[in-house]
Amino acid sequence: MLKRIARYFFIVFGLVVLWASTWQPAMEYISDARSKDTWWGIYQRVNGDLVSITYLDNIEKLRSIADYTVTRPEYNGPRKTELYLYADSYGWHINDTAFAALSGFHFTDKYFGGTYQLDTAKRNILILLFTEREIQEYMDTSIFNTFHSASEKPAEIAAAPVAQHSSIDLSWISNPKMNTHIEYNLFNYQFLMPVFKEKAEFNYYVFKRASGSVALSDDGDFLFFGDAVNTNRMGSTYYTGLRPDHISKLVYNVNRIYDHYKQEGFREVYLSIIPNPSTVIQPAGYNQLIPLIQSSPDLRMKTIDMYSIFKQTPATWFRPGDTHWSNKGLRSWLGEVNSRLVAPDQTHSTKK
Amino acid sequence: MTFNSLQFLVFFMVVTLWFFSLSNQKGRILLLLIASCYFYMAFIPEYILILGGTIVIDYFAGMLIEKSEGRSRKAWLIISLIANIGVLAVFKYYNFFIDNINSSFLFFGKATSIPLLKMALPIGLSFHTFQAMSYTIEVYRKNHPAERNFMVYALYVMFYPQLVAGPIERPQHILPQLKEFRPYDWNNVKEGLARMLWGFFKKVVIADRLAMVVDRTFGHTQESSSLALATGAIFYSFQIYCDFSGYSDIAIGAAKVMNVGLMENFKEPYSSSSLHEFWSRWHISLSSWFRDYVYIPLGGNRKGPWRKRVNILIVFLLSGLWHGANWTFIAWGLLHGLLVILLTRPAFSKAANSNKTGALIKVVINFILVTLLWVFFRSENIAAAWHYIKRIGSLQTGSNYVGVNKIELMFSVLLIAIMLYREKYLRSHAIASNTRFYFYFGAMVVICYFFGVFTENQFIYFQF
Repeated sequence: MLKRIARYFFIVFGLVVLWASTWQPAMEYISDARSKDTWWGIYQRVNGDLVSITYLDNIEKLRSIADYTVTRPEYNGPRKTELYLYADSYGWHINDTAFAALSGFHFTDKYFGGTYQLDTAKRNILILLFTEREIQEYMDTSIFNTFHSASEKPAEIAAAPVAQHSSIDLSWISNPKMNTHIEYNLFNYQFLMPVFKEKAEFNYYVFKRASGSVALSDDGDFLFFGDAVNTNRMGSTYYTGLRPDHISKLVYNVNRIYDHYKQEGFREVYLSIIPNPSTVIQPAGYNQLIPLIQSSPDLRMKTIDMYSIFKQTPATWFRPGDTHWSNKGLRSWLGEVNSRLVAPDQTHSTKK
Repeated sequence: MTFNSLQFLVFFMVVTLWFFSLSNQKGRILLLLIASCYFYMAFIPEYILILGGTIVIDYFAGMLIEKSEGRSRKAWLIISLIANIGVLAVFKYYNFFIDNINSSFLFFGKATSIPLLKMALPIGLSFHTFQAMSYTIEVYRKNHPAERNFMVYALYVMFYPQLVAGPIERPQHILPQLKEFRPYDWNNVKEGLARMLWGFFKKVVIADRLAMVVDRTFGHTQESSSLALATGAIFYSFQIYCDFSGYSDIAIGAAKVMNVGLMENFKEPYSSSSLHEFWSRWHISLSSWFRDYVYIPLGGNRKGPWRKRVNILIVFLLSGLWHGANWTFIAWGLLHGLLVILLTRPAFSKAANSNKTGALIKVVINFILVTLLWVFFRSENIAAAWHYIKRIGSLQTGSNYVGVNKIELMFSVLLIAIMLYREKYLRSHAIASNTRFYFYFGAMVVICYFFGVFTENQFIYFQF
């Protein structure tokens, strides 16, 4: 009898785990409920995203807590500039106090998208802040669908074919986050963390490497996304040769994006590619993706070149156990942006 | 879903417990069919329609073949084969064929661009189409009656443990097992679970660890020393073995838990003393498929020595193509074929004597040959493979770094030795004592977790 009860319990339990890990609203509910709990609560990812992925919280030199502080730059001139920043998590810690000469600041998270309504009496500046590891994914015209005018439906959206959904939507079966969700539901508990950390430290000290999808730098001082230093996949990473038409295709797309937003009414449109930490910290074998894009004679969009700055003193611009920049890296970028904001209107220049 | 995923572990627990909760075989078949559909759809749901389509065609073809005689019997078989090979041709070979046509035109100065198909290859396509073809061929040969129950036939093709990477089964072996109600057997459960754990160990502890070395050396051919490249090539031989045989162990173990016996797919292939022997020990379900359905129908060795050689070459060419639409696989298959023909000649067979040292030398030489041929299998193109082999042979100096530190390199060698010893001297997975089973189970779980290299590496043979 007891065996039968146990059997049915595990069947139901397994089905619930599979169902909950598949269905996004269920995951949101579980995540919300667990974030309020302490003992059963989730593993607190405070020491850097890569440290958290690898459970290397006990390694002092890799711990890198976000400590971003921005100060309002001194500026006494007129404030007639509206700044639009389209960025990923690199833009999360930036607010209007970081900039000079602004009458308004508008941040659009590229994961969620957003709209704009331009005040044509103002100097409207758009900055597209892309990380190197995602530029190939995001640098296409799908941006028109996620960042567009509030009043007018862009041509790209109107022209885009409407997805035809069948009456039965089966996409949930192949949910790509399924295993991450199951891991979260079954194993992501504070009381299990010592086991995970033991394994991570064993790999770190004995085999001198990080676990899973994260790589340790050659000097052991930084963590990188494994894919960023993967030498095995042609064209998809940063240490393998680029296909001959790779740069020209990227530049073509950048130019289309530039033309589109210029037509929309932005007076200046800037591209700022933040290099992968590995690109500047471990440059041997780097395929020169950023310099090739930025130096392309066909590129029409102006650039805010952080690669040239970061590669001079590589070790200070990024957090050791995180994919993001350090406070110094952020401030350096803000400095570059502010120098453009206070500069005279460059409406008629085409290139930096 | 892949076997080395958490999703599979939960899925397997639910399906197995539910399977034994059902008291009749009809319910069990329905459960396994639904579970297999879910398992397959976890990759790309839409492709279930392609699989479903070929199942329906082959199911009716089987019954029509059985009913017919003479020409119409053959016609129904041909229709079934065309349907299966047609799916393979479209999804697996069309782009390769068109790409080569486009390149040929470009070579002769005529730019043409016949459009390519933009779609992913259905997972395990070559495996389940070959299993489906074996059914209609066996019905045609009157070795097995056509299956009347559609659900049973569908499960024959879709049985989830062997759906996407084999073993490629035969109807006379698997269909009777699927139809028979077999009560819960604790000994089978223990043996199946033990075998699954051994498969997980080979995959996540050995294969995925060796992959770090292999990826590094194949990605840095130019700057690596000959020693590093040779290490990478040897490790690839063991990586692909542990990856694929690990999958087979999990598949055979998962089926065993449910009282279904699948055929063995590997028998210590690297202890072979010739390529001919290697192919009787490596991917046995595919080798025997080609032997039974291609080599023997072509005349085998019955039509003289030259015809035999041609038949061998055809089989190995097809075997290469079966693995993928790429010239590297074709070269790999043809080279195997040529060497099998060359090295089975009497002069070579007598080259080594039969004492232990001579036998060992033959095994080592054969392993080196197999390893060099795997370089073609692993490389992106033939030029890269040839470059890799040339650099090994030219004793180049260069970086000896192979992607892991020395401790992990030594640890990897130790793991290979443990694996070889276990498979040679401790082959059985049956554990009579419950205490020993629980200890083994617990120890293997801890070892797999603690020493496992958990990346997003799929099983290598999934792409085929």
